[in-house]
Amino acid sequence: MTSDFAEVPAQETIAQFLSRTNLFGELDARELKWLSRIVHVRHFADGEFVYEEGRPGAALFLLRHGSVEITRRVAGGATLSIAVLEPPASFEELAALGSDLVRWTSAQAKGKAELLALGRSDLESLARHRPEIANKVIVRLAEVTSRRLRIVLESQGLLSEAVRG
Amino acid sequence: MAEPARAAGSPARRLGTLAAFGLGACVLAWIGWKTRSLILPCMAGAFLAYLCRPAVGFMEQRRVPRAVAIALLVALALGAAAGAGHAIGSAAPSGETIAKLKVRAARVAHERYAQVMGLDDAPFTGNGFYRLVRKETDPLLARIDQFLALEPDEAAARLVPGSVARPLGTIAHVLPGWIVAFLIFVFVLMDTGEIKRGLLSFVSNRFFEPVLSILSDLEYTLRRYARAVFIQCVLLGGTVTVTQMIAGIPFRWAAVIGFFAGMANVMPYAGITTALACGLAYALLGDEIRSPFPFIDADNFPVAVLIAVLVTDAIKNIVYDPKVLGGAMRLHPVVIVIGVASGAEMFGILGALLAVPAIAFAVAFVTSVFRQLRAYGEI
Repeated sequence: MTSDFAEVPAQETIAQFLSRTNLFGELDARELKWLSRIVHVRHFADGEFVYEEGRPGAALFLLRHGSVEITRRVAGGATLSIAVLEPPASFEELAALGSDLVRWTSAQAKGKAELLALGRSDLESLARHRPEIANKVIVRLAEVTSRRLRIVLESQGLLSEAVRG
Repeated sequence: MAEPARAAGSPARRLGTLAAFGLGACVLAWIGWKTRSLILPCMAGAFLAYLCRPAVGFMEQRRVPRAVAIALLVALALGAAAGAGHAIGSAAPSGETIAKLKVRAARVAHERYAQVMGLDDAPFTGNGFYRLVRKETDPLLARIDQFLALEPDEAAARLVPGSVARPLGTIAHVLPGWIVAFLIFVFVLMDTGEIKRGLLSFVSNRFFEPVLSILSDLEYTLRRYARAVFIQCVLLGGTVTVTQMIAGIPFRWAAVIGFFAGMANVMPYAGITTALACGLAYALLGDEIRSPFPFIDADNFPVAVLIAVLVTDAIKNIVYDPKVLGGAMRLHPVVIVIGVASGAEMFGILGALLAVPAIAFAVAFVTSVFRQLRAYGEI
């Protein structure tokens, strides 16, 4: 079997990929197998939007193959590149946590990309059928989100100002 | 940064999209019409599966594998059905008993009618009330007589006990539909998201999240409706049992009436109607009265049963409907009545049963589609 994505093992299953991610790395093989059955595999063409700024969010994404650029519109209609993500990155975790989120960035595939999506409703369904897995996932999502928030605050010097003030 | 390559919203393209949607809808409608005999079993199986999902989820949370949980549920249902069938079979009146009951019901109806209308004292003129309403009530009594008249085979059964034929042919006719319903039931229960994943795999990336949200809304609506209906059926069945007992019906018969009224309540208004019909039937035909109120006797027993049903209906309307069903189904009563009548007209009793969930589902679908597409800026 050949892969369009040279940097990723061609035979890697979804469960194996999930075990490499920051979000789901702590789940055991059985839990990963269960999770691999509920995520959605999405393929994107070069330049295609994964999601767009200003639209509601209903799913988090895990980048399996290719790369994705996160951008934000700025004054004057220009677009600011915030980050370029590589596998096995995850992004938009808050959208899966059930907050009525309107996205403040856009994500766009750079070249062909394959992503896994986990919807808020998938997580709710998981909580009904496998609460122990859902609990681990939600705790991990909260950790990742809080860490991201801290990074943002630190990068803007807000934490240090608050500590001083 | 380069501008993304987006679908141009030219009028020709929109027209093409609309034409494709229209063609797709026509093809779907044609397939639906051709397979209409399977629609109802599929709906019944899926709805039943949704009702049973919490039970499977409960077992799964206790580490019971999903397949084993479903097998246990099916075995339990089959066992219960077999037990109920055996109980009903052994308790069901024979042809001879049915014929006797019919004769007795006709006699009681005539006696009560004569008593209320004053026909005992003045056989031809009756009382004032009779003279006022005779044009309506006499034909009604004639229709009751016609309904209770013995069929030729029943008349024979009265002479030769146990010779009334059962309509096995009808059961054999609907069996394939029920096999489909059972398969759909198992299929939906076994599903751990594959159906949703399959549907979403046909959706373009642009509409992935809106469709995900729409499916989530629909699942939530169906789950909430199924749970509310189940709770309401249990509550109504219990209430009917208690009120009928207070009216004077012995516990075992009140429990049977409550059970059937609760079951029938899946169809709007059918629960109360069942309680009224069965309660009045007992009041007119039964001998035993066990009310805690000493003033209830054979003469006012039907009135007591009627009051009990009215009280039950009031409790249902004031407490159960707003508290239990409340937000799960915001449908106008006229829509419900027309929907149930249309369902019964098109698909019989099962159509009437499934009319309300189908309407609630359709309303939720349309509402959700518009809400999500608006939120995502598509319309």
